[in-house]
Amino acid sequence: MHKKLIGLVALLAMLLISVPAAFAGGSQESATTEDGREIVTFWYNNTGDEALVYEQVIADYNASQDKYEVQGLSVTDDQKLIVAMSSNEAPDVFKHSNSKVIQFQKNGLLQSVQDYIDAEGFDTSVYSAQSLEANTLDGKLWALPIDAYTIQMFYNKDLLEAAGYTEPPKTMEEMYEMAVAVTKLDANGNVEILGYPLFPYASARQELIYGFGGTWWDENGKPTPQDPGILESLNMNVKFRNEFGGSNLDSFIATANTNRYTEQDMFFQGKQLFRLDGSWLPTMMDNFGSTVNYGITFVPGTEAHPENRGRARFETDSVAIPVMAKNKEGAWDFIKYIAGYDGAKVIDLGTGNLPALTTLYDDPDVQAKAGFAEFIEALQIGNGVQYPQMNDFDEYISMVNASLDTVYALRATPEQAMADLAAQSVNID
Amino acid sequence: MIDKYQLRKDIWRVCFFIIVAVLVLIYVSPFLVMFFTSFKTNSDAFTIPVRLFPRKWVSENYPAAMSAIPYFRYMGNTIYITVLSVIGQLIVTPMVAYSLSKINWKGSKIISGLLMATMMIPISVTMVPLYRIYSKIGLTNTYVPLILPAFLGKAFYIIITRQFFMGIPNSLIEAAKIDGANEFQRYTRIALPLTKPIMTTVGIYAFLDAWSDYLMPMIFISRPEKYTLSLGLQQFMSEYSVDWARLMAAAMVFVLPVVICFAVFQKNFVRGVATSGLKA
Amino acid sequence: MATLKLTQKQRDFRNGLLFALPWIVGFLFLSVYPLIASLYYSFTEFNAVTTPRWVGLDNFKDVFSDPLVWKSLKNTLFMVFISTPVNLFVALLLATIVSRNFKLKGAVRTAFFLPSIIPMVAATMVWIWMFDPTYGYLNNVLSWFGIQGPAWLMDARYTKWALVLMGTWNVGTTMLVCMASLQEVPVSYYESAEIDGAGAVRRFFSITIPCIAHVLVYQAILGIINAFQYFQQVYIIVTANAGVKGGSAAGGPENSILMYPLYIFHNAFTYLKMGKASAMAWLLFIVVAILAVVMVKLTAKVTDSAGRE
Repeated sequence: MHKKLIGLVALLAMLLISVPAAFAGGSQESATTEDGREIVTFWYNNTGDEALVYEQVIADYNASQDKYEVQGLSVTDDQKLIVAMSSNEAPDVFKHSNSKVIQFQKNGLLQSVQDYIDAEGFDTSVYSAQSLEANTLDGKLWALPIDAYTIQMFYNKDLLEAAGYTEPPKTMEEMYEMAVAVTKLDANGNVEILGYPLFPYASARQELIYGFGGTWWDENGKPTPQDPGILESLNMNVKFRNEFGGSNLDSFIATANTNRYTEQDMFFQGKQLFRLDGSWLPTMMDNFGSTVNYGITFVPGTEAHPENRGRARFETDSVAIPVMAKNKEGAWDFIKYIAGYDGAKVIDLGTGNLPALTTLYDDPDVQAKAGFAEFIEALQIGNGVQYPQMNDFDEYISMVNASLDTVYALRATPEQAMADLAAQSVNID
Repeated sequence: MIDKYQLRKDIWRVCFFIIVAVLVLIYVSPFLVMFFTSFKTNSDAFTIPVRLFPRKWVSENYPAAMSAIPYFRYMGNTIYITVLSVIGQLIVTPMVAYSLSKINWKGSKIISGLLMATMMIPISVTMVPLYRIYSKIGLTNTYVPLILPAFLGKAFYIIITRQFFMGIPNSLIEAAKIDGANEFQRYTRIALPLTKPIMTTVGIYAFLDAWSDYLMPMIFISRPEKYTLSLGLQQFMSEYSVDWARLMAAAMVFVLPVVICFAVFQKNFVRGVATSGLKA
Repeated sequence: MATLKLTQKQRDFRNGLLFALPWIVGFLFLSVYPLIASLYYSFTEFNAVTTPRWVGLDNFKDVFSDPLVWKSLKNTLFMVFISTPVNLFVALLLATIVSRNFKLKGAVRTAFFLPSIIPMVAATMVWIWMFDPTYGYLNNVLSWFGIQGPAWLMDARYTKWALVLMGTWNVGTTMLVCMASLQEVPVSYYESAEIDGAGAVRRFFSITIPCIAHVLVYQAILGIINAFQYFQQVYIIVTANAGVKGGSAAGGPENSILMYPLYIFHNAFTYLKMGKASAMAWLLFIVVAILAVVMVKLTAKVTDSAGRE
C-alpha cells in the first residue's frame, strides 16, 4: 500500500504547486480591474529602452481615460503570439511590422479596423497615403500605422572631402568611384575603411538594388529575381568585392554586425564612408557621442535612370486586433490613441522612427529631431517601395538572402545565382 | 651518465603537462572571457589589440544588468520552478527506472524502447497541441506546464538511472525478498539508498534544465511578474544591437548559481555520471 | 482481508506498472497525444490558428520537392556524422588524460567539465563573441601563429565547423562516462601487452578501444539523437546575426547552418505552415527511429562480443 502513499505524496505536491500558481496570480478570465476598468492586453515586440517608450504611452493612455486599462507586454518571439492565438489567449492588440500584419490577415487572423473606421466615420486622411496602402489588403484596412520608416544614405563628409569630393554621389556610378577611392586596407589586407555600403546586409538587398530600378517582385507579388536592375546592382557589388578581396570584406562586415548600433559601430567610428540606414541613426550617434561629421542624402539612382534617386523601402509599424481578441472595443479605443497624434508622437520620437501621420510632419519637436527633416522630405517624395502582398514573403526573402550569400562569396555569378533562385522560387506566391 | 630512460620519461612528463595546461586553458577560456568582459566598458571590449583583462576594471555592468530587470523577483520565480522540478525528477526518475530494471514485467522492455523514441520528438510540432490542452484546463500563465513534466519523468534521466540500476546486482534485492520485504520496501530500503550518486547527477541536470529553460516559460508565461531569469536575459538581446559588456554581466549572474550548485555537489555528481553509462 | 492471491508474475506486472505509472501518464499526455495531433496536421493545410483543412498528401509532396528540406537534412547529417565522432574522440582524449594519476587531477577534470553546465543561451552568446573575426579571441590567438582566421559565422565554408568546434567544448558528460569505463579495463591486460612489446598506441587500439566499445557505441547513440535535435544554438546564432530586419537567410549564410529542426521551426512559426512542419517532423521521426533500432541492435552485438570478460 506504500506505492499509493508515494502516489499520494506526488499528487499532493502537484496540487501544492498548481493551486497557488493557478489562482493566486489572478486569472485571465477577470477582464476588469478592481476599480471596474476593462482590461485591454497589448503586446509589442520591442525590448530595453524602446520597451520603456511603449510603457510610457500605455501609462499616458491609462491616465487619459477611466474606461479601459491597457496592460502591456514585451513579446519578441512571434512563436508566442501564434501559439496564444491558436488557443484564444491572444492579446487584444498587438504591434508588428506591416508585412506581418498582411501575412497574418492572409491567414485570416485579424479583425479589420475598417469596420470601426466606417462605423465611427474616423478620418484616416491624416495618415500618409503610403502608410495606409501598406496596411491595406483586399480594399480594407487591417491596422493603423504608428510610425513609418524608410532608408536613406548617410555619408562621412570628412572621408569624402579627403578623397577630393565635395558633393555626395547622385548616381551609383559616382558612388562606386568614391567608394573605391576611400576604401583602405592595412598591410595584412584587413579593411580599415569601407567605402561601398555593403553593410547592413538588409540595405544591400534592398536600397542598393532599388536604386538601380530593381525590385524582387512584380506588382502581382510574383518573384522576379532576374530583374535587370538586380543583376546590374549585383555585378557592381561583385566588382567591388573582387577589387578588395571577398574574405577581407566579410571579416569587416561580420565585425560591423557584432557591434552594430553600439558605441563602436563602424559608421559612428568613422570607418564607413557610406551607410544606407534609417532615421534612428543620428539620435544614436548623438547618444554615443560620435564625432563623425556626416551628411544625409537620397539613395543614388543610376546614370541611365536618375529618376530612381531616393527609391527606398517603405514600411510601417502597425497596431492590429486579432480576430479572437476578447475586448475589441477597448482595443480599437487604444489603437486610436497610440496611432493618434499624442501617442504616435511619443513613440516616433522615443524610438527614432518617422511619423505615419502627415500632421506630425510639421510638429516642432519632430522637426527638431536630428535627421528627421531630411527623412520626412524623402517620405514626401512618395518614392517608397512597398512590400508585396505575398503569402510566402518571409520564405522568399530567406531564399533571396541565401542566394545573395553565394553571390557575395563569389561562388556563383549574379546571373547563375539569380537563375537558380528563379527556379527555386517558382512555387512562391 | 644520465639515465636515458629517465630522461625520456621526464620529457614525456613535461610534454604531458604542457598539453594538459593548454587544454585546461581552452576549456575555461570562454568562461574567462565572459567573466573579464563583464568587467569591461564596451569601448574597452572593442579595442584593438584585444586583451583578456580589462584595461580598466568597472563594476557598473552588474548593477546595470540587475536593475534593467527585476532581478530578484525573477530569481525567486526561477528558484521556485527549479526546486519543484528537481524534487519531481528526484521522486519519479528512480521509481520508473527501478520498474524498468529490477521488476520483471512485460512493460519494461517496451517502455525502454519507447524512452529513446520520445527523445526524438521535435518540440516545434508538439507545442501547439500541448498549449491547447493546457489552455483548455486554464493552466497557461501558471507554472504547472513548466513543473508538471518533471513529475512525469524525463527520458534521458530515466535512461541513465536505469543504466545505474543495471549495475547493481540483483542478488541484493533478491536477498531482501527472501526476508519477506515487499516490492515497495525493497525499493525504498535497498535500491533507493544506493542511488545517491546517480540522483545527484539527475538532480544537477534537472536543476540546469529548469534553470536555463527559455522556450517553455516564454510560451506559457505572459505576466511580467511571473517571468524567469532566462526570459529576463532575453531583454539584453534586441533585434538592433547587443550591449556586449552588459550582456556578459547578465550572463554571469545567470550562470553563477549553477556553477555554485555544481561545485557543492561535484564529487557525487562525477561519480553518478561516471557510472550511468557503463552497462549498455 | 479477502484479497485475491496473485501469482508472482501478476504481482510483478502490477508493481511494474505502478512504479512506471508517472512516466506512462506523461508519455500519453506529453508525447502520444501531441504526436497524433501532429500526424493529423501533416495531412492538412494548417496555419496553427484557424481550423485545419484536409489536403491529403500535399505536405509530403511539398517536403520531398523542397530543396531546403534536403539541404537542412544534409546539414543535420553533417552534425551527426562529423560532430558526433569528433565529440566522442575529444571526450575520449580528455578522459584518457583525467584517468591518469597526477596532482590536480580533480581540478583539471572540473575545468573540462565546467562548460557543460553553462546554460546554452549564455554559452552560445559567448561563442558568437569569440568567433568575431576582429575582436574575437579565436582569430586573435590564431594570428599569433600567423594564421588569418576566417569570418567564422559569416562564411558558409566555416559556419558548420564553428559549430563542431563549439560542440567539442561541451563533452563533459561523455568524458566522465569514458573516464569511468577506462578505469574498468583490467590492468592485467595492459601488463601482458606490454610484456609482448606492444606500444602505447597499439595498446590503446587493441585493448582500450575494444574493452570500452560498448560504452562508446552507447554514447554515440545518445550523441546522434542529440545531433538530430540540434536546434537551440543555431537558432540563437541566426537570430543574433540576422541584424536589422531580416538581413540574413533563415539558416545563416547560404543556409549553411539551417538544421532540420530549425527549418521545422521556421515552417511552423515563421511561414505559418504547421502542416508541412508536422510532415517534416514525422519523416525525421521515422528516419531516426530506424537508425536507433539499427544502432541498438549493433550495440547488443558489440556488447556480446566485447563485453564478456
